[in-house]
Amino acid sequence: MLRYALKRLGVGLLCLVGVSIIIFVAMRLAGDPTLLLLPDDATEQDRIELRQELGLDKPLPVQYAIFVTDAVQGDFGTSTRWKMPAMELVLARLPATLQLAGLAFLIAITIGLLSGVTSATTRGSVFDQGVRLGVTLGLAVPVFWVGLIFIMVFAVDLGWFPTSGRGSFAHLILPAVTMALNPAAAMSRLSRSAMLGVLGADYIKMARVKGNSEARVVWKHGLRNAAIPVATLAGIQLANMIGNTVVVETIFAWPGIGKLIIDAIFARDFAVVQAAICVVAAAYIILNLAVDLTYGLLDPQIRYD
Amino acid sequence: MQTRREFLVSSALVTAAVGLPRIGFAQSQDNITIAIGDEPTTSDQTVAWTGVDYNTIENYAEYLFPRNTDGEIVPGLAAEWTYSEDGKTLDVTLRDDVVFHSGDKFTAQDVVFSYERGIDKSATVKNRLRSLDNIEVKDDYHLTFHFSAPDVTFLPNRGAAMIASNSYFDRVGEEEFSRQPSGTGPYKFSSYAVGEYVEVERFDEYWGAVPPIAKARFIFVPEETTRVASLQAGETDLIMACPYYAVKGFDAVGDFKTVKLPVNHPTMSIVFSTQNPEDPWHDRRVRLALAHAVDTDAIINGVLFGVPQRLAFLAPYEVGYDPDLEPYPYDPEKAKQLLAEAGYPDGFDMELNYAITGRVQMNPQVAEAVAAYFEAVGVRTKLVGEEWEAYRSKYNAAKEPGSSYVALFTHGRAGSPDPTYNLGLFFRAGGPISIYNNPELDAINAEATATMDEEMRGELIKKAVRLIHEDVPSFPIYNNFAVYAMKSSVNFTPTQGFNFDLVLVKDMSFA
Repeated sequence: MLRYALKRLGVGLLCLVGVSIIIFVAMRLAGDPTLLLLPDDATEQDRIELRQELGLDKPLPVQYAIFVTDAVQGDFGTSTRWKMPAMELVLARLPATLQLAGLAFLIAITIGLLSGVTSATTRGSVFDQGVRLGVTLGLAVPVFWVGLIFIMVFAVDLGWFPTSGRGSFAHLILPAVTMALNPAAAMSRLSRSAMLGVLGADYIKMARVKGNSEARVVWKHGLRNAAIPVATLAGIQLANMIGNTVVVETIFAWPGIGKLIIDAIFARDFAVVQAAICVVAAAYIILNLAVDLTYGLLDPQIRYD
Repeated sequence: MQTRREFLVSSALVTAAVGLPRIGFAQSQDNITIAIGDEPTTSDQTVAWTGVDYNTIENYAEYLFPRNTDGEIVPGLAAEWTYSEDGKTLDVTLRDDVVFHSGDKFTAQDVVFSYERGIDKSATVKNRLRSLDNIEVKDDYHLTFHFSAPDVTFLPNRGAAMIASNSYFDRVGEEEFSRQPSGTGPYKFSSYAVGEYVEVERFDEYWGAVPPIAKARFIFVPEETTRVASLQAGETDLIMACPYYAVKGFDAVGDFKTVKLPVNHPTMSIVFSTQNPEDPWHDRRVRLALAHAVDTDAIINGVLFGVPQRLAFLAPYEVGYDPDLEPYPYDPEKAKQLLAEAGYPDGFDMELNYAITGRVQMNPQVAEAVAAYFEAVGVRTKLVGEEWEAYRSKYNAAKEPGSSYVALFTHGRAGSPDPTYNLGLFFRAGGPISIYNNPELDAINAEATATMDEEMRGELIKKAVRLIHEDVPSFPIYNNFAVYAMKSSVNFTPTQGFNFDLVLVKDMSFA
């Protein structure tokens, strides 16, 4: 298992290099940052000087080599917009995003599993119909719209929660729920169909015949066997949440990494985009590995050698 | 089934949520919470260069030559000043009773330091001081600015550089200097939470009138709808850049009001590249036809909620304002006739570029409305919307002779520090944001830029504006208005920042 994990980490590292190349080239194709870093009234000479200062006049492979050499030493360059070390900026914003994604994930997995499994066991009931309608809605409504409606209803009209910003636990609720809706719906749908596949199996009948309580049959024998696709989806969802917070963070003025990335992209702040994407990609790789390793816990038949 | 304990916990949570104070920081009458759009890129006043920087910084740092809320340049850090006859030297006497927040005394050396550092670190300062040769220090409170050519925009730009303390910099070094900036303003910088807010506190040893509000917190709320909601929910006392759609609502409810800063930069305009003979709009009559084709009043009332306004060119408060110059009237018949005269009775195909992101609200909606009016006179218009940087690259490329380009653009007409400033930026051949070429106009503007006498300069500016109006290299759709929305208990008089809308806490109070 250790060998497997190390091998996967090696592949992950290669992925990271690939991601860094793609983002490096893509950002430079996206345009000339001097248009945004200098005021409207700057001259062409100013722009040429700034390009030299930023090293953008060098050939791309040379620029990339400089980036990698510095990055392995922990230096991801300096933000052109904030004039601070890029990685420092990213790491300062990371806790806010992890907090938001973490709570959203907990909400999503709790609601998703409970509703999905229950709706599978009560197939065709009013509850099941309701869940299926809820899932369709949850997948279909755009996040920005839900966020704004939540602000209108729960912050402005009812005054239960603050509209935006970070501070108390109350600040976290609306953005986390907004962010959880879509993944909760996806988890619900998947756990319902996975459970439906499992519940007709012979070993479930066997478990019932042995006199197990229905709850034990469903939640232990059933869910355990339906868990692998659900765990896979959960892993992807959590990783997505870390990388996909931009809309929620913008609406709720949440000072996280998503807002930082989008600001940096619009400002063509290469160093920050590179540092942030590397962090997000690393999170993806680690979470994926963690999910793969949990398969062994969920299903003892899976071996890693 | 829910156990009793679970029920209690959940009800406690709901109760806690309901019991939350609706007004957090803003409860005290001495403190104010202000929502601004974006986070400043720096706290250091000498490095500041872009609009979002000045929102917070202008509360704790000052220029030598401030403007009052009426827009007039008044004595401040510079107590007195006199220009030489030729406009090339400016003698300045400084106030001798000014201290920085760090406790350092303000002297002429700080002026030299701030200007040198500004030119080195801020592209905005550098560009505004192109004509500055050097600063000669006579003693601690007397100095002379030497210019290579007379520059009428120096004073209107308030002297262009914000003042910081040299001795503070020498004492604490670069890092601390920008982490804990020290200025001479009525407020001092007190704290900064990255991505969340900047806080300032009243400075009791301020050289001028000590303002009523003790503390202000600027929170960063990029989404305009959320800014509106934060005011409605009572979390903020005042919001900047209130979207036009929310203005009527705030004005109708007794708890809120809006204050508008009329005719702010930019002027949203249709801009043509006029240098390609192949283009239909190379012909002046075609450009004039399109100017007559658009019902701008309908766009302002129908799309922009009636908030902004359209001017022919300059605002009434500006040097060289011409009350007799009328905006192009809406006249589709005349437009069609002009197109026919120019040889396009059946219209032509044209691309209209616009930005889908950026500082200006409702760009896509305005572009669509303009395109519909163009279509109505037979010009088949293809809309090309792009993200700001890509769009600006295309605009820059249109500077090349022979390029073919039409855009809805954040153009500069009214609302600049001095009209010569925008004429030089947006209409001068080779100007940094100009795609226009008219040697006659450039000659008049060069003369105006070197004419210190306001009346004479005004006449020259009038001539320049008439030339542009005749040739139609661009025509205005509407002049941007900066809108501030606030609780009705807040009094606030905004200051025209010229190219930026400012939010100065010193001009706020609670009723």
